[in-house]
Amino acid sequence: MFIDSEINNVNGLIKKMSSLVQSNIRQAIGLYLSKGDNEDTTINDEIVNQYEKLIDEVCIDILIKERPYSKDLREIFAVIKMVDDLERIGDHAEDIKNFSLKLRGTLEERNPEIDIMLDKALKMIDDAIESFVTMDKALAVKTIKADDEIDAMYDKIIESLTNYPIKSHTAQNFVIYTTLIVKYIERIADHATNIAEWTVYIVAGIFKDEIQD
Amino acid sequence: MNNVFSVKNVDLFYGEKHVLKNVSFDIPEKQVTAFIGPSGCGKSTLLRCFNRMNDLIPSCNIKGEIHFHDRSVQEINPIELRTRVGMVFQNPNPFPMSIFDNVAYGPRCQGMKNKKEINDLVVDSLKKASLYEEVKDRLKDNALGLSGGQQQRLCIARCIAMKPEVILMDEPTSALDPIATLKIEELINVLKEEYTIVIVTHNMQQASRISDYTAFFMLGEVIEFSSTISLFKNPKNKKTEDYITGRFG
Ligand SMILES: Nc1ncnc2c1ncn2[C@@H]1O[C@H](COP(=O)(O)OP(=O)(O)O)[C@@H](O)[C@H]1O
Ligand SMILES: [Mg+2]
Repeated sequence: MFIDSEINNVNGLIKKMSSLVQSNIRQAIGLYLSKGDNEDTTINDEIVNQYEKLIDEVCIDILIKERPYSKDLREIFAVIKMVDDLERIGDHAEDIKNFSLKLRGTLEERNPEIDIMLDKALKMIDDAIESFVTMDKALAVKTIKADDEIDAMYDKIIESLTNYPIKSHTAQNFVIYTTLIVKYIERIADHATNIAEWTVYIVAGIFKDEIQD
Repeated sequence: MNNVFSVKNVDLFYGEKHVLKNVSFDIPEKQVTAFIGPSGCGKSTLLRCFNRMNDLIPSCNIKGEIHFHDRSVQEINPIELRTRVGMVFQNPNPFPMSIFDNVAYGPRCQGMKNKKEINDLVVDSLKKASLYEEVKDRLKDNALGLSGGQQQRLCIARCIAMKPEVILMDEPTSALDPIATLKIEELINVLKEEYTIVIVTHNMQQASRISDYTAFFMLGEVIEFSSTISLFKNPKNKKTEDYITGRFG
């Protein structure tokens, strides 16, 4: 089947783009955890953007050539949507990198909840991508549910940041940039959720508001 | 939504050969219903049941019920039935007479004599079949001089002149080029305002483009019947999935 090999090809591209995004986001978070120390990252968002364009083009070619139906059609449609989420995670890796650099020289202690939230968000990205690669609906549904925990942690962390005593210029920087970074982490988890929802769409043909259990 | 035909537990045999197997579903009114499936799976056979064309085949034996509205087709006079349920075939088959006479033939056979009445009916039917503009200056010319696509639209006009309720079409564009095919497809889209259309097609793009409902046939069974969009987007049966994604058949 032509279409099988064409879809395999697209999946291969998604895997490459995903591992790039996973690497970028890990490096950005590493930079954040070191308060912008270790500036020596290889984060390259431009390549991620090029992957997005390439995958969109390949998908459009498949639509023209194969006029796919059923699961094939859902897969191509979902991939086109999903690369958008991957690309946004890539953007946020870049954002986190930039704001982490602003944390340089701040002496304030990070709320340990943030470390837990970071781990969970990274796990969500990995699981979402894994669920797509293996077409694992159960893992996708589990990932979608994990987003509620992220949202709850986000609310708690923001609450504690609003109560943070601002007595110095570095404390001010610390609160502002930490807030932004935490916001980006929350957004990243949303995009991971979307990716998992697209997996469910491909496998079961249902959109996010129809997903049960 | 009203149903025009209701098919219940139909089994059909040609001699020993079991060609339709326990087929049940309804044909909705003023919608386009497409029959798809591998060749030889019984699509044309079921289509012919709707206007009792299978009566002409001596070895044919039908069990089960086919209702046209509230009456069994077996209770309806076949001539009346075929007037109300017209048919268009794969190969355009105009009579070797003028374009005008082709369309006037059926109504004349039914006793229509008034010249003006016949003329109006022919013009109206040709217009409805989107053919009038192309042939209005040569209505007296022989129909066999028309192109294949025009001949097929003439056959549709001939069918329309009988004022049918249903038009059955058996692969009506298989013998036509892409432009002529597109014209017939556009025509079908207009005709469904007024008529119920059942079309057999081996072209899945055609089924997905022009039909509202689709029945997928395999080896004499109707595997799946549903709205066309849902059948092509998310079929319920694995066999349908395999067929429409080209992984089988
Ligand atoms: N007049 C007939 N006598 C015997 N067998 C027939 C006759 N017409 C069709 N068949 C057989 O019935 C089966 C279904 O045919 P048909 O309805 O024409 O299939 P389709 O339209 O799906 O291609 C085929 O196996 C065909 O050979
Ligand atoms: Mg046939």
